[in-house]
Amino acid sequence: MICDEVMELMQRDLDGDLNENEQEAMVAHLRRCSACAEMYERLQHLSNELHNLPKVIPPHSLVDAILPKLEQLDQLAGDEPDRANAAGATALRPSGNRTRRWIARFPFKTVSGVVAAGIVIGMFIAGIGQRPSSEQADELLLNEAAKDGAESSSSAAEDAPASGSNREVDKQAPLDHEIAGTTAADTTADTSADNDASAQTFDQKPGGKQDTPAAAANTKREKTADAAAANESGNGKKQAADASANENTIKKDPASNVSTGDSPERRQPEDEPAAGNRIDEQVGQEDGKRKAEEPLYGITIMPEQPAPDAGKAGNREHHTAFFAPIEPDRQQLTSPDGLYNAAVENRQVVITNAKTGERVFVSEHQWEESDRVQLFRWMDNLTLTYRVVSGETEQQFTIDVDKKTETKN
Amino acid sequence: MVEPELIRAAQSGDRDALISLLRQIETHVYRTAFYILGNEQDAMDAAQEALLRIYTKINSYEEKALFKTWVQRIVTNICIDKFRKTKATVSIEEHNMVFTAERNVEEQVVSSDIAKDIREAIDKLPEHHRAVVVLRYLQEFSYNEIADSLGLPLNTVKSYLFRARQQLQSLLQEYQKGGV
Repeated sequence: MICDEVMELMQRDLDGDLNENEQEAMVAHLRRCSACAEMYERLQHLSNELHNLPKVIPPHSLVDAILPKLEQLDQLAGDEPDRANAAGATALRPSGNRTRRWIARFPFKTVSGVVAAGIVIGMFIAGIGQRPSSEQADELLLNEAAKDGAESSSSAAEDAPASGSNREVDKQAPLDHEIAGTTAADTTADTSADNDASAQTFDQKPGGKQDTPAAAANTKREKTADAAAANESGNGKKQAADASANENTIKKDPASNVSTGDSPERRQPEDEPAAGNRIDEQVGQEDGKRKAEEPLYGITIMPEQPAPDAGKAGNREHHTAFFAPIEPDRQQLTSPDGLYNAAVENRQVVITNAKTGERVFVSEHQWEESDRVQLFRWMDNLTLTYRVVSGETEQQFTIDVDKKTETKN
Repeated sequence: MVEPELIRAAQSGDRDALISLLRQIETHVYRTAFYILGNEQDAMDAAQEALLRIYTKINSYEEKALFKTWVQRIVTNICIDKFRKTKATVSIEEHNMVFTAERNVEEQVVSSDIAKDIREAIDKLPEHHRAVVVLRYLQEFSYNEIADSLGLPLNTVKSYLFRARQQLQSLLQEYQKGGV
């Protein structure tokens, strides 16, 4: 047998494609021919390395990112809609969809944390406009910027407290926040449209009002905005990630939003693929910090720095401190229909019936202390995926609750 | 990989089923795109495009083919198109610059040194050889499944795969010599 023929056998052997006779012939040749034996060893080594290539996974859900486009496709496929209406509808609808997904994925506790923070901000802004007699507002009124904000935030005064009692609707606040953000950022004229929309549901106020004054300020107070932009270079993200620095930026937030106007970063395109996901992650982070920060909204409202300084933190603040970009390991994840809770207990993935607390499935893998077990997502009501990072290797598993099986992806 | 019932439901117009199906395959789609295109950003773009195409063309899938090979056919086609376009639009000098920049991004994505050499070597393979290797090792497809996915004759698949492995092997050997 010549070496060329053996090369093919070796290659096929790597794919498990040899029958017994072929295998024997190959092994016999390898014993006699050291060059082929060496080549075989190298090919096997290569094949092992190829098998061990990192099983990369997308940095965020691709399906979530294309959901808005899918909706558009559905619309186009449907009845020929009125063009003008279609344009308006597509701008808002994708976010609506995203929110439903958030609700499905996040425990109420987490969402309510953000809502609570939003309400406090809303109440604060309301305070600027409506209660000049309070001591903070007295000082604030000296701040020229605050006057601009007061005008557009006055309606929030009535609505913000009310939203605290409306839990169902409150869940939507993070979304509405985003809608309002985009709408308000587009044009100042949109502000009135935004107000109309807000009037229908209370919960839109905290988010909506944060942006509205800013958008208004954008045109009225270009000077301030420019000054703020010049100071843009401050690294807001870093500050936000650091809990203690964060307290400072949070303090400034409401006032700086009011006083500095819009910044380019705030104009987040509706269909930006990363947007939904980033906020998802950040919502979780917010929950952890809420307790520490909440009182600050109430107490330290006074922006002592001149507007440009406040703007430095404030412009970024909207994305960073409020939704700080660190993804914590999710230790619990409820299925979309709310029937099951997945949790990592004692470094094992455990799925329990959400109502009875009964253990429905316990993973056979118990991970090491050094491994990072991360609940990833419920694919549907009965299928959970999770990742395990051990050093540089990352593995993904899928649990089928119905069949009580677990497979490595 | 994907339950036939789910596919049928998706084909009969059940939108939730279709979305859930897309969620099940997105990682596989992305993985192929990542290793054919060699960087995260292009892979995200290509994978999203593939998912959109699957969403709109789900009814053109016929059960006589395996669903996973149908999916991989879509994503490899998109990747190979993209790959050609990038290649066609950059001149040689520019290409060198782009290549260096891309390598940096890759290094951030996968920090493993062992994987780095082999991924650089994969990047040097011609597009179809690369696709064959990716389907064989990242999707763990058989020769036949690769042939179905790429619309190539079985013998061509084998010869691409064998040649690719030989080329990778000699590239790795070069790297090792260079490293000593």
